[in-house]
Amino acid sequence: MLVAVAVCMLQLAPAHAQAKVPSAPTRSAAACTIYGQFTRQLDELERPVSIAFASDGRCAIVEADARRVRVIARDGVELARFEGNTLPWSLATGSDDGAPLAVAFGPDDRLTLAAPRRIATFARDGSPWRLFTGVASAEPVAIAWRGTELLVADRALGVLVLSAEGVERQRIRDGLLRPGGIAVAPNGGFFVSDEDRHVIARFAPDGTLEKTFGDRGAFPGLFNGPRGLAISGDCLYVADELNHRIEVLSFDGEFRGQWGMHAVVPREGAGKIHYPTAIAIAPDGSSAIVAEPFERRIQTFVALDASSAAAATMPALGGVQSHFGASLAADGDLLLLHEPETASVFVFDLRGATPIHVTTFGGAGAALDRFSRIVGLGVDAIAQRVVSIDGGNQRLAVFQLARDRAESLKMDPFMARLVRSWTFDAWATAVASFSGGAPKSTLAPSSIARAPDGWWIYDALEGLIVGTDARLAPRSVLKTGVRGGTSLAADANGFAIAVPGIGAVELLDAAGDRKETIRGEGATRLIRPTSVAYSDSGALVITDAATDRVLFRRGATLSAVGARGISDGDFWQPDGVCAFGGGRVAVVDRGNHRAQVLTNDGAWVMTFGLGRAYTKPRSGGES
Amino acid sequence: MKAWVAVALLAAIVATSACDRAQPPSISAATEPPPVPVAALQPVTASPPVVAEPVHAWHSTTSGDGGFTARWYTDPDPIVARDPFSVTIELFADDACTTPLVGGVLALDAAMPHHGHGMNVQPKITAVGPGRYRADGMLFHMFGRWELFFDHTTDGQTERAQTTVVLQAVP
Repeated sequence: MLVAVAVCMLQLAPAHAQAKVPSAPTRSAAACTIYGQFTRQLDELERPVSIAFASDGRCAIVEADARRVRVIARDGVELARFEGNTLPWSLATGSDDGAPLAVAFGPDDRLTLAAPRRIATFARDGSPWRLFTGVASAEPVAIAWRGTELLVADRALGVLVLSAEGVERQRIRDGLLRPGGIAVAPNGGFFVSDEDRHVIARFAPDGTLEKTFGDRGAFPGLFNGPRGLAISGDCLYVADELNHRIEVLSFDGEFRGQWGMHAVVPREGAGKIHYPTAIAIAPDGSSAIVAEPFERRIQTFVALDASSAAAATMPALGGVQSHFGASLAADGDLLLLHEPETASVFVFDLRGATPIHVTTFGGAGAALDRFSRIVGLGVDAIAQRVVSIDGGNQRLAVFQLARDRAESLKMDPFMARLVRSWTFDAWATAVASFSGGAPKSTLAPSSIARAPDGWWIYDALEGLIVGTDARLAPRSVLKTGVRGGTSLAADANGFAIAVPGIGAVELLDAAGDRKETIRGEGATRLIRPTSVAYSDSGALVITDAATDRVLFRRGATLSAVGARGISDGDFWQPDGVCAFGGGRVAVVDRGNHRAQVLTNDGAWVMTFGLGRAYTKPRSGGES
Repeated sequence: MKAWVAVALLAAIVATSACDRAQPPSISAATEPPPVPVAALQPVTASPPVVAEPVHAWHSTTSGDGGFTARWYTDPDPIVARDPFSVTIELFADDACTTPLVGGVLALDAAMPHHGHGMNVQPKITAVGPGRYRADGMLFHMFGRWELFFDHTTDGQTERAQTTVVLQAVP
């Protein structure tokens, strides 16, 4: 039946699709369990990013926003909870700054937690066993034990192989751009998912790359932002995040099945999967748990009954409208938003009462005018130019909008034209040349803000703010020391950088020196600030994806608006904000697949998406 | 005596034709030069036939930032849908097209943005002189509006010149 589904999907492929379609197997496919039958879900988790099973069926869940780890029994009863001062590094160092990001059970079922630059292991009785500090991994996304060795998949570094004493024995990169998950095979080899290349890489036990399989797409054997991995028998399970499904493959990459389907209504669950990032299979193979941090839940699935009518379903190929990503920008009568699933940029005209979508450009691909993972957008309405930062293709680009304001509004697929493109390496060389230093091989521009006659570009790895001209050529370099930020805002007085990993926004003066660290307190305490912008009234606007609020800072006063929900003025993981003109700000309400417009005082004025907008509040508004 | 005159006359006629051929008529790119007459007698002193250099329809486009100007013509011209064609390209560092743009790498590509696809082939680009290139194996597989991209890359930085080519179906 799965082969029939695969054949049907092949026949539906568009004539000029770019995806590579895997060939049909020449022998009968080995059976893999398809855990397509939903059984239960656990909601209201604070961004569950990692899950792992112990040999006795206990399951550990890392909630990154809560800086908490729960251990639950097979039946869902909570057995233990580590948070705040009970975290292992808190016990060892007295500090709770480290947010756990990955979990695994090691030898003797020792619970192992990884945080930026720290790894801690508990003995079975819960007492701290080992604490490793100074680990090179600054952004561990997944860990897995291989005998007495610990493999750490790090977003920037690749795979680190550590001894049981925490000593780094090996570092493996081999073309990995952005590891998203790791799983160890029975023979000691391992698999790593690569979010930016949309492939799974298979490594031999000695770390030699054996093969990669997959490509970007939605058809069998393809991926869109693959994340967490799990192995059961000789089957590989992949949390295929942007395809909103779990895909099952052989160790050679042959498609074996899938389950999951994008939610039809917000927060749906009950077997509908929405941005899955982690998966774990019970040691006895009885169940699978899928983590959806975007929905703040985990779902448990069991084997799909072959006779069941609820067969594995296709991901929504057409996509749900308004899957806006976190990067947006506005200037004058132009607004930009983007969609991670398709790697496309949307341009809106703001001269009317509501934003009008006038062009879409980009799309997924490696060509100079296409994108992989957009991390920053900027727009200059006078020059009618767009600047993009593509973390996946590792490029900066400038586009010209061929737009005649005298013409009537229309959708124009030809509006955007590439003008210039820099590789990250070329730009890093230019930055180094300008500042008189040696070229940095690992500059990673991640955010952009308008500067007088140019741009400010923030590099999260080195903590630089580079001032450029309109062509992105460097003309000033500020060494801020602020690393790990995800969003930059600039005004005449200086800069603001959102650093979600430490739950703070750093304020800098015009020279790039730190002035203040904003953490908030009480009702305004920052947990995971994801983006910042200055409104045209001078207020600093902050989105916090953990608390689902938008905060305004005027002078020394910080206030918050919004609550978790779907009504107008409520948010679900807001991520992305920009000044909108007319005393307003636009916020990407990611979890509700829409954008909302607020006044500078935080009052709701509008909700819009692609092709839809309204200015009168609705109860339980839809995206 | 009469035979000698006949040969001389024939030679004179052939020689005159070669000169004419030495001064090729003005022809358009669509016109083939006149065929060389095949004579039973091979002239002893005839010059090899001279084929006129075809006149090309040059086009030009300037990059978005004004960094270079691309002049180009296609072969054949006009482009025929679904048939391979070549493009001869000259890059200049100035609008007046007096200074060839040397160095760097040129890539040529095309797409139909409103259809979301590009060409189904990858052309071969060959440098044939300072700032001069030839792209072979181009193919526009359907009628409609194509965007042609000239991407010049130096040290990891690319600047693009873009132009529109519309293939219309012949009624």
